[in-house]
Amino acid sequence: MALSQSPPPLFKQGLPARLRMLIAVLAAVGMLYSDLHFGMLKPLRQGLSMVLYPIEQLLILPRDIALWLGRYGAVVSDVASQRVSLERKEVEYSESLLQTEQLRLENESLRALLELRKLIKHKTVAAQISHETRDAFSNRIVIDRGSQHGVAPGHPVINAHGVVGQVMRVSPITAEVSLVTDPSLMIPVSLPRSGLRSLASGTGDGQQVELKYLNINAEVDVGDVLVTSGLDGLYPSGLPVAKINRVERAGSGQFPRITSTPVAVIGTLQHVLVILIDQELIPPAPREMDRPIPKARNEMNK
Amino acid sequence: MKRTMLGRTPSTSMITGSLAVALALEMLPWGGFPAPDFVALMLVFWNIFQPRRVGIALAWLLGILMDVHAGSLLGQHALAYSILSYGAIALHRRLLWYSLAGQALQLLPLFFLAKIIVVLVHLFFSGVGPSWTFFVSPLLTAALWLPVTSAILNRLNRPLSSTAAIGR
Repeated sequence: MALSQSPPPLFKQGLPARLRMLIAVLAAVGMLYSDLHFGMLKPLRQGLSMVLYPIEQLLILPRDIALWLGRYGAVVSDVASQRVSLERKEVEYSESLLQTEQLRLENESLRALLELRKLIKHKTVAAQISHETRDAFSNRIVIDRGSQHGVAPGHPVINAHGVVGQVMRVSPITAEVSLVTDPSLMIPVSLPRSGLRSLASGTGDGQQVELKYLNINAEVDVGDVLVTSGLDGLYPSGLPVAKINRVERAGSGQFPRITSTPVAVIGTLQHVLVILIDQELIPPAPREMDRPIPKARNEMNK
Repeated sequence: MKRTMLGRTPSTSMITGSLAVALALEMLPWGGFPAPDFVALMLVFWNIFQPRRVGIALAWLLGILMDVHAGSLLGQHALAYSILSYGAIALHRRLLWYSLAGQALQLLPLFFLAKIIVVLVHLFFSGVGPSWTFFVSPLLTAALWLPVTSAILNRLNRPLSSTAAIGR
């Protein structure tokens, strides 16, 4: 196409630019709505992400190599001391492990006596964090396990420290996980000290988790750890979620403002565990996972 | 007054190559850093210098790719890029008469607009606003206009640089 040689475009311009923009805008808005409400575009998104995935991995590779090299040097330097401390820990843990096993058996028989529902033991899938998504508002990470490995939207994700978040979207080989700092995620928690139950959700700044709808007189102190209550049937109960770092007493008619920092520190190349819960336990998603619980509106005004 | 112009027509492979590089730069693991919008930059560049080859349709397609990569709603970036591209095409005759810095200054509101559209769409559908750092990105994008444009112009003008055709 030797367009630069063509005469000044006085005559044949095709569709005027304004009309073209209108068509493009309408197409984009139509796509937004159908993505949000009908989920028709899932195959398109999955197909495109399968194409983009190898490219993304290739581009992340230099960073991974650098991280790996750095880690390798560190490991070589103190592998001996680590081994000693690990062996000591193993001895320490083996005792408590035996104890837990005993307690578990005891607990089981007690539960059987009380005819309580048995604690369900779920299958898990170990995954590695590959990167954070580019979308600056949502606190999401991408992990390297997808629907091929049994991961589905709604599955909780944990690591050694506690709750990391929840799977929001899956492709065959990757999954997007909303972190606990995401405002669209709500986790039922309880305070072990006082036994109070509440809901925790992100504040949207990527650092904090807020405690919702707690009684004014609730006994909460800085340093308390929030653990999952297990009431939703998704998260196993007793997993640490966040540590309270600020308590603002409320005036009359208000809820106290209580913020906390998540316990699970997220970095790259870290390992996480996806808990594969039974599909029938997962409540129906609020239509496509992008629409959060409509509480977020009033949060913008703060 | 001097008009910024290309010495010769860029090849199709150069256009697609530069857009591919821009996409690749977007896909680097930036994390939370407000990286400049490389795709928007390259798109606007070709919209201005080759408006008849790189138009709104391509902008829309690139937007869909960005949406898939960013994990945002499909159509969010497509909407922003379509409008960005229209703005650039509308500006392109006037803009070439400014110096590079002047061009960057005139494009800054356009980059801001594209960012704000993405933010507004997100706000509308999920009610969650961004942090202020999000708006650093258009500034960086506009700042990148200077080196990127002069690099590409140099490349395209080099073989003809000895003749009088350029320095008109």
